[in-house]
Order: sequence, then C-alpha cells, then structure tokens
Amino acid sequence: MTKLLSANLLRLRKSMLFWGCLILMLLLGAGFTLQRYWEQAAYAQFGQLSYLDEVLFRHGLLIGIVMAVFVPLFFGTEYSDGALRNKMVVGHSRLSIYFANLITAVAASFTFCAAYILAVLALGVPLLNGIRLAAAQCALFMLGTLALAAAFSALYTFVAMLCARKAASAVACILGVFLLLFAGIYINSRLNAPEFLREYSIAADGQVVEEEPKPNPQYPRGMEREVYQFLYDFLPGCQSIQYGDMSVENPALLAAYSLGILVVSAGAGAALFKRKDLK
Amino acid sequence: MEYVLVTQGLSKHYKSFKALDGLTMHVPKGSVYGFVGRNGAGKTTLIRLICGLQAPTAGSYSLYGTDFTQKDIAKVRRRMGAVVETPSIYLDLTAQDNLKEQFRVLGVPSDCGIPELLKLVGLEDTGKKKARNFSLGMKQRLGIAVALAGDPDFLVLDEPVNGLDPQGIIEIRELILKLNRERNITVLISSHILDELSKLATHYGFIDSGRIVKELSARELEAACRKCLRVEVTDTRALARVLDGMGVEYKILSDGQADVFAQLNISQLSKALDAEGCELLSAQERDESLESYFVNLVGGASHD
Repeated sequence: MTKLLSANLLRLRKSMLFWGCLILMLLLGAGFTLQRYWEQAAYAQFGQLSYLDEVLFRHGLLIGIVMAVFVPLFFGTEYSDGALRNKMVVGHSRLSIYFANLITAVAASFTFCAAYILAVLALGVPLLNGIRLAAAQCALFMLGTLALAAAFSALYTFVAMLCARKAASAVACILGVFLLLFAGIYINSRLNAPEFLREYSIAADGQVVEEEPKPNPQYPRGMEREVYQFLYDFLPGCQSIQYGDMSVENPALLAAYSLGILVVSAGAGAALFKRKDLK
Repeated sequence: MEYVLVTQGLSKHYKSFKALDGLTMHVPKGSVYGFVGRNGAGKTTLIRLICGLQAPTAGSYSLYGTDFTQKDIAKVRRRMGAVVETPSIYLDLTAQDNLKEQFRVLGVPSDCGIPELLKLVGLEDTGKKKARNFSLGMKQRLGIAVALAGDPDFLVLDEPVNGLDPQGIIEIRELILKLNRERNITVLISSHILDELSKLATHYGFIDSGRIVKELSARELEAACRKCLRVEVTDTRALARVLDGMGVEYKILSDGQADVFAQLNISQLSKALDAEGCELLSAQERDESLESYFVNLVGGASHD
C-alpha cells in the first residue's frame, strides 16, 4: 500500500485541483479573520471584541463542501482516464487501492484544514483577541473538526470509488453535502425553537396585555427531541453547522460519531469495491 | 510448449447475457497471439478477467502456471502489462509524469528508466505537453509505455490500432514487433482488423459468442489460406499418381477431394486422369484470405 500512497502523493503534488482547494482554504481563512477584524473595528465604540476562536474552527463548516468537490474529481479521474486499471493489472489488491485512496483523501482534508488554520493564525494573532477556550477544550475542538474532515473524506471516497462516472459522483457528493447542511440548519432551528409562545393582546383601554404562554407546536419534546439531538450530533452536516457557529457542547462525542462514520463507511466501501466489476 | 496464459472453460455472465461461455485458450510463451473476433464476441471481457478487473462466473485461468485463485497471482501479475480498451493514462499529466506515477505504483525506486521507455515508444520529445493534447497514436504509445513500466514478460493489448491513422498503425505495429523480437515479450492482441493482425501474429485464437472457435499457429493458418486448386475427382489414388508424376505439391482432403498447390493446365490434368481411368468432376481456384477464413469459421451473419 505504501507504493500506492507514494503514487497518490505524487499525483496530489501535480494536481491543480489540490492546489486550487488549498489556496481556497487559505483565502477563506484569511477572509473570515479579516471580516471579524473589520466588524470589531466598526463597532469599537460599543465595545465589541472579536476573538480568535470565533473563526479558528470554522474549517469544520467548510471542509465538507471543499472535499465534496475535491474527492470525486480527484479519484474520479482514475475511472475516467482508466488509470485505476494500471494499479490492478500489476497486482495491487482492491482493498489496498481503496484504503490508499481513503488515506490520501483524509491527508488532503487535513492539509486543507491546516491551510485554513494557518491563515487564521497568521492574520488573527496580530489582529484579533486571543482564544477564550481552555487549551484542553481547544484540543478537543481541533480533534473534532479533524475527525469530521476524515468522516467527510470517507463518505466521499465511498461514493467516488463505487461510482465509475466522475461527473455523477461529483454531483452526488455536492448535492449530498448541501442536503446535510440544510438538514443541519433545519434541525438547529427546531432544537432552538422556544418551548412556549408568548402572545399579547390589546385591551379595550388600549393597554398591551400579556396572555398565558402557549406550548409551541414546533418545539420537539420527549423522544422526538432526543432523535433530533442525536441527528444534530451525529450527521456530518449538522456537526459542520455546530462548528460554524461554535455551538458545540460535546466535541468528544461529535468526534466519536465522526470516527464511527469513518469506520463504517470505509468498511462498507471496501467490501463493495472488492466485489465491483470494473471496466 | 510453455504457456503464459491458459484459460479453462472460462465464463462471464452479466445477468442472463453470456459474455464468455466456456472459453478455453492457450497463449504460448514468446508468441504474438492474435485474438480475433467481431465486436461483442467477448474479447475485451476476457482481457478484463485476466487483468483482474472482473471475476469469472465459472471456469478458471492461469498466468505462468499460477491459478487466478492462488495468492501468488498478485506477484505473477507484476510480470504483466496491459492496455485495456483505451490507454490508461492521466490526461492532465505529461508523458514523463505518467511514467513516474506508474513507477511509484510499481515501487520502482529510481526514475532513470523513464527516458529509455519514452524513447522506445517515440515520445522522448514531448516535453511538458500534457497527455490530453497528444494525438490518439501518441496516447496509445504512452499507454503501451505505461504498460511496459514494470518490464513485463506478457503484454496484453486490446484493440491497439483502433481509430489510428495509417502512420499510427504502422508505428504501433513496429513497436509490437520490436518488443516481441528484441525483448521476447509475449503479446496478446485483440483485434477485429484482420489484415493488420496478419502482419503481426504468430498464433491465432478465433472467438465467437464467448467461445474459442479455433486456435492455430500462423503457419497452420497460412497453409489453410494458401492459394490452391481444389479438385473433385472419382478416384483420388489415381489423382495422386498423376500429380506425383507431374511433381506437384498436393493434399488429399477426402476420397474425392484434393487441394493442388500449383498452376495446372486443366485440359492436361483431365487427359492424364482420363488415362488413369479417373474423371475430373470439378476444379475451383481457392485463395482464402484471413478475412474469408474468419468468416467461414464463425459464419457470415452479424451477431451484433
């Protein structure tokens, strides 16, 4: 497998797509940091302060989208150009091909995350205020976002290795990540819905009267709330939303879910790829 | 005879469609094996199976005596190179980078063999030109160079001259001959361009509807296709005496039929046979090309 990894890394270095994604992550890291800095400057008279950790982990929101473009296009080329055959003809097993590609995808996603973090640190340290999180919490957040990047990589590798058509797998991954993100936004709104609705009425004398609060039908209760909470913590798109607005409460749990997704999708993908008829 | 590839009753079914139906073939070591069949006969399916891209539904094959189910088959495949359907090259890389990539896949520690390979296939001057800007012939040659990167003993080429212009066809033909003669590489070429194949092949396998219809050497094929006069007589023993007297080469096919490999004066032959008490019933000139041999073998109706 080391031979395949070496070949993949050589191709990564030569890939315009890889460098394009890397530069995009650098620019996004710089852009988010500058935006925070300008907001801080604009509202200085109200005492608004911006902190580094507000943008430092936002790659958790971006990595799913960037990898949805990168993975199917990078590995889809092996199908479209037929280069996958060169690996199989000379005796590499399907499992080693699958796992070499998965490791390459994970390595690329970590590199993209590193590019974002470097850009944030390079501009954020001199321009923004420090990190409010404790060091251990900071490390957990970092672990969580990297685990999320690995989970996205595993899901997209699954699609790219099992779908022989590059365009179709790219469309599936991009649609998939946006569906997951929209699911995250929807679940977030349901979980953050107020439990009771306050109603006001105007009395005959013109005074505003507060009515008895009524239960909000949009507020999930009991088992429904537990299911929503589980999905919000489990689904990669929902985790992205949490890292995007820094509302993560238990980064270790999220990391565990991400690693679970990584293991299950890698196992299933490798098993299916092993049986796939290739052209 | 030592064989590089032997298949035994190899079958591949896609749902109810039988792409290969009990195919048995033998590719001798050092040969250029022409694998002939019309479109859809199962040529590419067989190549996909022996390259490990797909698993057979039934039957077996062995490469250098190693059965495909054995663990060692991965090591044996290291001795193989293949161009299946289209050349397997990264279009966004240069010729040199494509070879570098394949050297990594193979675990070749040094890139110093790349210039020689590029020279062998005539791509030494392509520089930084990306493979996507190559002509079809150049892509095909780069595909062969990639297949040769592991210094294989067995090269599998699927329709290597498809879509090439006459110059490209000549270049590929000369390259294949060079590889076979100078490097002693066994080559399996699938094609339906029979005329082109006849300039290369030392052995032939004719496939139709997923089965090998006939396997023979180029010499046997040449004999079968040799220009001759097929005569029908009442007594072939009398015919043999007459032809021996004339000092002519012939082959008795049955009690009443023989092929005569010479230009004969029919009147003289008829007179001589008459003298032996034998009648000449018919005489037909035969000049069978590889094409007509193939058509006779598999039948003229299209299966597509």
